[in-house]
Amino acid sequence: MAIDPVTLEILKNHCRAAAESMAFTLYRTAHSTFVKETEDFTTGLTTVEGLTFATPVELGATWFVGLNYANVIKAIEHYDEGDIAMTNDPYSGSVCTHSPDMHIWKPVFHDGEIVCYVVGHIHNTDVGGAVPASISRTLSEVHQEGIRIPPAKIVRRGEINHDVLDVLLANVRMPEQNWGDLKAQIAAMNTGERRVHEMIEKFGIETFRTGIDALLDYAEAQAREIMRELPDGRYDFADYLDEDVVDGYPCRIALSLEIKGDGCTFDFTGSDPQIEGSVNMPTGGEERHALLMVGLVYVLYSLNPRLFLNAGVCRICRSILPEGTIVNPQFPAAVGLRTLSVQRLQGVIFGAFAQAAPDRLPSSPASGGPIMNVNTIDNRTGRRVVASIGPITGGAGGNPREDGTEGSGANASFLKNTPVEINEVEVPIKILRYGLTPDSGGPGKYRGGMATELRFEAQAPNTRITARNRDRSRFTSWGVLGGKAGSRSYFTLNPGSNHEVDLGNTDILRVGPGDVVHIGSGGAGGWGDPLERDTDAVRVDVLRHLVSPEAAEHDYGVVLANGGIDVGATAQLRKRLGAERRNGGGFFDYGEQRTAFERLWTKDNYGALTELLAGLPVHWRFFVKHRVFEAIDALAEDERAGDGTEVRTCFTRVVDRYPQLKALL
Amino acid sequence: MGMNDHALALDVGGTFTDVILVSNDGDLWTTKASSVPADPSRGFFDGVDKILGLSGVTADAITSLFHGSTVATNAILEGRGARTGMLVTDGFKYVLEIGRAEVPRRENLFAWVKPSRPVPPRLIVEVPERVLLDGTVERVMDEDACRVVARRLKALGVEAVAVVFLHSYANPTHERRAGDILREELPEAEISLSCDVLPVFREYERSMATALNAGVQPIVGRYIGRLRDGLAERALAAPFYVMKSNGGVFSPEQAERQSIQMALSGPAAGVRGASYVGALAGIEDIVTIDMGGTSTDVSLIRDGVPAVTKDGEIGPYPLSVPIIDIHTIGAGGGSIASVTEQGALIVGPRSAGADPGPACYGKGGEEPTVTDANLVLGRVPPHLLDGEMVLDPALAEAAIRRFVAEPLGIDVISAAEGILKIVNNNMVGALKVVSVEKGLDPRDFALCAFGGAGPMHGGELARQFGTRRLLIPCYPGILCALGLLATDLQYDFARTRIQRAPNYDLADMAATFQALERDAEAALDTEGVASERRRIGRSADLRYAKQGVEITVEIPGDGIDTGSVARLIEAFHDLHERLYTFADRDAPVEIVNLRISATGVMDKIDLPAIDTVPEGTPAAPSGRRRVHLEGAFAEVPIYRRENLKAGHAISGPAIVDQLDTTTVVLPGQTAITDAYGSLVITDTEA
Repeated sequence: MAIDPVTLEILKNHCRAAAESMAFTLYRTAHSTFVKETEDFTTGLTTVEGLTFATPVELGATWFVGLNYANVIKAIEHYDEGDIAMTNDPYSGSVCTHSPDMHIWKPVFHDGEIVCYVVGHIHNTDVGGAVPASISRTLSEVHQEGIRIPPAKIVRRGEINHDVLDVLLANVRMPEQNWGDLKAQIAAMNTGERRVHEMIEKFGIETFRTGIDALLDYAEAQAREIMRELPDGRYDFADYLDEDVVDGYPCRIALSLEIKGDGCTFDFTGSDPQIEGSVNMPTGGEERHALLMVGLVYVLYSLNPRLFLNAGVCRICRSILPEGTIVNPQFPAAVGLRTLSVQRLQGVIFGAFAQAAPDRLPSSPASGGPIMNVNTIDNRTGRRVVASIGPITGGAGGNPREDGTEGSGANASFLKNTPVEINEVEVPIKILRYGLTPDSGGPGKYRGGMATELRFEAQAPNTRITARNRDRSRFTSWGVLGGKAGSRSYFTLNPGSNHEVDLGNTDILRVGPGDVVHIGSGGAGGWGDPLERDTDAVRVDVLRHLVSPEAAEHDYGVVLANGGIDVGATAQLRKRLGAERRNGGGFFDYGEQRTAFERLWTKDNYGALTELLAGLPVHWRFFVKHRVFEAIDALAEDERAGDGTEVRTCFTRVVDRYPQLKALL
Repeated sequence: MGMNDHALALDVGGTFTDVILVSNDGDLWTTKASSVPADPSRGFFDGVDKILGLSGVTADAITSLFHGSTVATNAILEGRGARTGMLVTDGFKYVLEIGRAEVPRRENLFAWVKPSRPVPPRLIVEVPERVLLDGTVERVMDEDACRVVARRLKALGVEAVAVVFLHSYANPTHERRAGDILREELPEAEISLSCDVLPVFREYERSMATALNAGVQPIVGRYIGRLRDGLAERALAAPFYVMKSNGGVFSPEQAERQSIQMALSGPAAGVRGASYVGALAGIEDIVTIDMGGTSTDVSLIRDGVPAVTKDGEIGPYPLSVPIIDIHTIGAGGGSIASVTEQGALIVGPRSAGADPGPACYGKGGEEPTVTDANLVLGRVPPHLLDGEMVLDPALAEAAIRRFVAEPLGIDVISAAEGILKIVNNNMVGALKVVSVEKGLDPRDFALCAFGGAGPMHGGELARQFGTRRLLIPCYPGILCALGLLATDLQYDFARTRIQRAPNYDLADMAATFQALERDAEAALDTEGVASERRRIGRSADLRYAKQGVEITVEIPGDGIDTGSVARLIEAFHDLHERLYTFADRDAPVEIVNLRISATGVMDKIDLPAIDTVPEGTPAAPSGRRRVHLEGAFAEVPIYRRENLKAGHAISGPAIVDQLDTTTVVLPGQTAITDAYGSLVITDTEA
């Protein structure tokens, strides 16, 4: 039975409203500040098979539209009415992608038959494990990342299953918070179930069933329409995390995007072998895994903000995910910090699409701004406090029409910050500064948004700071079409004092009373040639203390005098700078450090490495990658050709050094 | 009220200034004047002169004057606030710029550009000072530095200055001292202190309220000055009150200082009007829907009291002062219907506005709107405003055919029906947001539909939403002006005093309430409110420890003791359970903000009762029209609203036409006219 367009539109609104209503319930009832203030949660409706067909647009982490609950739904043999199941295991069914995310689903029955599921997740502040908040890049096995609940019923026929609940709560650091948030999730499921029943009553069960399929088809058709506007072709792009593990080597995420007609393929061959750290993305090899589709959804949504978001959108794409790589790791690789790699992966997808639609997509948003967690003692009560003090986001990339937004709009998962006055109430620290970092946004005709920075003073001994998702301390956000890269990120102990320490790419720190911690995100990339930037916009930036007079001259060729623009000197300087720059610059500007790195690690060298590592057993690959990097670093200048030969030579030396490996080949 | 008292109310909207004059002898006059957006005081006085001329009432006979104004609203929405500077705590210059750092979830994710702030970063200066969350002064304010930055702002030519220091709700001394210094250095400028505007925590929201207040103060001040002059010229010396966003009124003197309180007063007056006509009809629990041309406002009234929120918004900005909780959606009579590339029919959010307006206006609008659909289905008569406005059904039909019917391969009538179904569905969604989402059952509420398009859609909305009664006020097009006559003086005072379980500091709470009550009494003293007319209400914002959102709970009685706090916490658990399906009675509860609401009860002039016929007398139709209702055209009786007397009954299907709107009574519905001319429509089937 076909569904008429009027009914479909009304059903679509009802489905979205049902998901929204769940999100509203969850938001208003959740206990942890993290959930309340950052909205790191999802709600949705899935088909009987587990495909998401409706999600909220106003609340929560709205980009996870590709979530597929199929495997976890199947993991439970039988459902009774009133049952609710949950899991936070990244290796059970490919829905949960790191242990703090508690996914929960409830079958909705009509006349004794399941007609859909209501689903959702919350990011719990802590689920136990080796470190507070459960996530650290120092971890290498999922077992260290807290308790994992494989798919299990938390509610049976409307009654809480205390067997599961008690085990969960016994293993986490702040059980009352997890329990509060779980109750909020359960309330959201019950709201969703009620809404589905109302819809069935209104539309009839047949229309509801047909409508669900039609909604998926509708979203798919919209997505295909967008793809048809883009030129066919192959677009390659890669980007890096600063380190694969603590004190490690860069971690590469590579994509070859092929656009063909109204669909596309993501080939991730060339991405790093799975990491002995926690930035792995547990896709389970699912070619439309939500983690991979987030970036695609972002791109499509940027190209058409009227896109109805559900799993239908993802049907236009399939991915090639070599096994044993960062995009398809094998159990028990740690995955806690996948947020960081997924963010970078989204940027990679944007970089690839930017080449297909340069006049429609922005340059790289700031990233590498962490979510800060503090674990300290409240001097007044003597009690330990573990809390998030919010994300340090950074600005948005310059776009084809305007500057990137300052200090927000970065690719930071829509996260809200936590007010200073709330942080000081909740967490015994003193905040000294919260603001924007001058000269941090990548210069461009349309400038990248400025970085955000936070500076605070610890009040108690043994205060532990976790800067989860920190990155971009080395490889900065890229600019396009002449726009420059943004500034690097910072983590500094006692800045401006005689015992200042630049903590590089560290993400964990122990401090004592009086110690001052400074954390700054990176700046966003610029769009277009900064010498074409409106000179008055540069003058205003200087007045706002966002661009220094020196940078105005050096980056933009704008000379200021007496609060105004020196028109003559500006014209001259711009002419000179333009002539000097004529030879430099491709489509992307990657910043100095990446450019230097890629002189050693050329595309061909990476190609050779990818090919060679693919021939090794998975558990050897990361080890061999590191040995090859060491060997490459040790080469003399005249031994480098950049064509892959030096990688092959180094690889052979490594294999020769390890008979255990040689025996396996 | 003495004999021959006259109350005059003027609501200045974007297009029209609505005017009502009521005497306690039972006379009532209404009129409309064209608004003059460039100088709203002109529309105001045109309205005054017009109604005085019309009624023959002299200026000196007016005993009270009420005014709803969008001057503050428009200044904020159009970014026309005064040039405003800002003093902030050292280290926190960019709080306003960064905001809450988030991208609105509806927006284009990567290309979203943050709306510019009411104060640009270059006019925000830092002052060395620091107060901690408990009010302790950690760093004494550097007064010399404060003076230096005050002079710098003066040199930059600011007309207003906002002062927002961290934790000033806990200790305002630095803000007050900075205010003194600013007044010395910039005697011409308006100064707004966050400890006066919004002394509660969350620095961004407080900064925004204070910055907006500072920016609109000079504009509101000048406007009120013009009103004072014009009133003096006319020797209209009656006490004068201005509508606030919280549903009450305040004096012009207060409006000049707390201008931000007027930011959303327009829709608030409509809700107040709905609660007034509801009370006259004996209905206390109401969901209101004010459906205009481009947008629709929905709100909730319980026990006769409009719901208030402190998490509101104005345009792109948060507005954390108490306002009537109004949910706005971008759909109305002018919303455009279109078909997407994928063959889906959508209505809005684009609107044809007033110009060119719907296709049937014949002013060049090509695309079909909701109004066009209503016209094609015969629900709107082709003549509006007593023939001042003629609508062309052929144009409406052509637009629907071209943009909806043909692309979908359906006939024009089905297309028009589809447009109404979709827009009604969107409206029902909005009705649910204010009710069902808050755990309330629509069956317990009446729906009050007003605004130009509300009465046309009310019947279907009531059915879909599941209410039992629909109330159509006597003057649906000017309910805001009517609402002004039903207001009281109303002031809200709040302060953040965080109290953590189990160590509630009762003495501190009592002292804070006393201080707030002193402020409240002082405000009422200024207005000369007699003691027997004063109502002081106390409430507190509570939350479970670490929850990020608070719930406001009323505190009955006078004192603060263990018992009253225990009852407060019990009431919080109950309310939490009602709103959010659970209460966590073992969890520690934090008392976060203390609030006082002070009311000065005003004299009201009763709306005159209309003539009566025996209850249930069938009304006589004035004609018939072909109208499409529930899937088919039929000849439907038409009634004139002005001919209806109290007690008259109309059985649907029927149409009730009046000057500025049309009420649709569906088959199966019965409309009874009440003593004050409101139609109370119920479903006879149910």
